[in-house]
Amino acid sequence: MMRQVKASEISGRITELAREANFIFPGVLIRLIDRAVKREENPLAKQALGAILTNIRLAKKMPLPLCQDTGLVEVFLEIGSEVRINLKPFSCLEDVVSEGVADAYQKYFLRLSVVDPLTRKNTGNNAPALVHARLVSGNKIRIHLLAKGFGSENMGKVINLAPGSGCLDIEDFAVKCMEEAGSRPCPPVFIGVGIGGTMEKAALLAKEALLYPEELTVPNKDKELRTLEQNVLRRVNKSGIGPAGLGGKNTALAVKAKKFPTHIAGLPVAVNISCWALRVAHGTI
Amino acid sequence: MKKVKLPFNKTDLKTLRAGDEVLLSGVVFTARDQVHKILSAKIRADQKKKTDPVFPFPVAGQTFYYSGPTPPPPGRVIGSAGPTTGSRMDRYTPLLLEYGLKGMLGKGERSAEVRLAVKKHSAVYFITYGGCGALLASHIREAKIVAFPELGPEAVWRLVLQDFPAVVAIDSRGKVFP
Repeated sequence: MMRQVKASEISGRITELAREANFIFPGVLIRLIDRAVKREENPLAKQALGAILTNIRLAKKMPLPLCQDTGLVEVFLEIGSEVRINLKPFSCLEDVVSEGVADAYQKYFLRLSVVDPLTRKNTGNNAPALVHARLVSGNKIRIHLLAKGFGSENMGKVINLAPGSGCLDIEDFAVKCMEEAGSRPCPPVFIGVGIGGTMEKAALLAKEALLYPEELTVPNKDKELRTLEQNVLRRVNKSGIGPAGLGGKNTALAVKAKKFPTHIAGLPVAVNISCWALRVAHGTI
Repeated sequence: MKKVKLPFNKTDLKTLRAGDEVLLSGVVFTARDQVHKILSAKIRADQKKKTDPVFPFPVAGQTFYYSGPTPPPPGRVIGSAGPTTGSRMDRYTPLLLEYGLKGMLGKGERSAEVRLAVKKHSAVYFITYGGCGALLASHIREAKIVAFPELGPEAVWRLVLQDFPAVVAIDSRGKVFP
C-alpha cells in the first residue's frame, strides 16, 4: 500500500529543520563543551569556551543564528519505498528540498551565502541545496539536514593513499589536516574521517560522520575505527591550537570515522572538519 | 582588559601588545573577500593613472571587521555578526595597509607578509571568538550599509561597537599571539 506525501510537506519540514539547525545547538554536544570547560587550564581558552556557551544560550533566546555563516545546506534523505511523492511536472526532489531551504533563509533572516562558483553572483535565496537521497524499505521519509559553514568546510581534504598504508598513515593525514587548518575552522572542532570506497565516497563518508550528534559522543563499535578516533583526538588536542586559536588542550571535541570497502589498488581517505557550531537537525515524515 | 576606542588615536594603538585582551568601542567597517578584491583593483588602476584612490567608504585610519552579518530581524540593529577567516584577505592586506588601513578584526592566523606589513605600517590585527555571532551582535549598537549593497552578504556595513571582546593577535611591532 503506497503512502502519499505531498512535496509541500517535505519542503515545509525542510524549512523548519533549517531554522532549528541554525538557532538551536544540540543538547548532547553542549555536554561535550561543558566537559571541555572543566578540563581546560588555559585561562583565555576557558574564556573562549565560556563565550561559546553564552552564544548558544543567546542564539536561542534572542533569537539570532548561532553563527553569521548560516552555511550551504546539505540534506540527506532516506525515502521509504512505500512512499509516493507528488512532484510538479518537470520538477525533481532537489527542487522540493531547495524550495524549503529558500523559504527558511528568507523567512528567518538567515544569510544568503550561495553564489555562482565563477561569476560569484548570488543566487538570492541560498538555494540550491545539496541532496543525497537513498531508497530504503518502509513508508517514512527520514531527513538529516546540515547547514555547513565554509570556514571549516574550506579546511577539508581528500587523499588517495597507497593500499599498503594503514591506520597510522590515516591518523597522520587527519592530524596534519587539522594542524594546517589551525584556528581557521573555529575550534574546538568536530572531525569526520571517511575511509575507503572511491574519492567521492570517502568525502561523503567524512561528511556523514559529522551528521549525528549522539554518534559523536559515543565510542565507535568498530575496534580499528575506535582506536583511530581516539588517537586522532588525543594528538589533535596536543597541538596547542585550542578554542578560538587561543591555546589550550581543547582543539577538537570529537572525532568520528566511517569506512566502506575499497579496491585492492587503493585507499581513499577524506577529512571533513566542522566548527564547534555543528548545525544539524533531524526529522521524520 | 584594555579599552580601545576606534578609530584609533596613534598612542592607543602602539600601547597594544600581542596577547592583550581588549574591549573595542567605536566604528569599524565590515569587509570580506569581494570588497578587498574591488578595493585592491581600484588602487592598482589608480596607481597606473598616477591618481590617489578615492574609496566609497573611509579606509585611512580605520578598522576592517572581516564579517558578513546575517540580515537584521525586526527590532534588531544587526543579525548574527561573528568573524570570518582573516587569512583569505592576506593577498590584499599589505596594499590596503599601505593606503592607511590601521586595524583588522577577524579570526585565525595570518601570513608572514601580513605580519611584516602590520609592523611596517604600525597597524594591528585583532581576533575574536569564531562562531559566536549572536554574542558578538549584542556588542553592536548601530549598523548601516554604506557601500556595495549589491554584494548582498558581502556589502560594507558601518558598525558601532560597544565593549566588543577581542585579543591582539599581531601588534604594531609585528609580535604575534599565540
